[in-house]
Amino acid sequence: MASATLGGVYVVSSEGADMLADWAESAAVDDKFDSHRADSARLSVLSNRVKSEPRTSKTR
Amino acid sequence: MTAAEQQPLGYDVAAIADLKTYPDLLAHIESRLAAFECARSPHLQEFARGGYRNYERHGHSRTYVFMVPSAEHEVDVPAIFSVGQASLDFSKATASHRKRLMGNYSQEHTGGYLIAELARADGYSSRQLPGRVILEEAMAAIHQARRHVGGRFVLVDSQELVAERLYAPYGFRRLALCDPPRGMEQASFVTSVLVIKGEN
Repeated sequence: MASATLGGVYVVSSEGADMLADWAESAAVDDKFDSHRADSARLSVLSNRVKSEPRTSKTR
Repeated sequence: MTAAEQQPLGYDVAAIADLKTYPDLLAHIESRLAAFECARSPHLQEFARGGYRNYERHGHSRTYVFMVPSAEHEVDVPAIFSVGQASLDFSKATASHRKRLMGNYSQEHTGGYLIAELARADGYSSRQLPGRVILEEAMAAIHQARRHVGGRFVLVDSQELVAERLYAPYGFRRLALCDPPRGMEQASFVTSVLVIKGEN
């Protein structure tokens, strides 16, 4: 769905700059999205789920 | 479509770099990425199947994976995105436009964040995982970076239809046509840009 050159230089045409200039002065983006970024507890849960070898107890 | 395919997925997101302290999980995720299918974009499929490694190794970008519990695979990867940096050249703009674009600084060049890759795997529907959610997570990563180092512009190259349906409704504006990635020469690609304002 998206693909671009990392580190690339995007040359903005004079028409593009004209279009962006008005908008840039009024643009604002809401960043109130509630991310599902996994914390260490969640990563531990997921990691345990994929462990291929069952943990064996050292207790006899 | 089954009922399960219509339900939004409960997911977790992590940077691949964050998985290094969980070697079992990292190995598993890498194996799922190696089987990542994205028929709409051979380029994205190639990236997901291993192309990301070089960018990760040299720090050019950070690739993030969506992770969901899976009966078949224990944990599956329904989507990925990658964010990094690019730069904008405003040398063709008038001094007045540059000042307005840059917030009162008339600079010819500035850095920008780049959504380099963003894809949902073919086995998952837009009902289960809307493109908007993947984009929101990519923007959450960018906002996190922006809180630490600032930044004002976000760039993305995408197919025209995706620009119209996904990026424009979020607030991106189409900037210009751009070259398609290798393997997708027949597709029409555009660069879109988002201006982020505010102190947060």
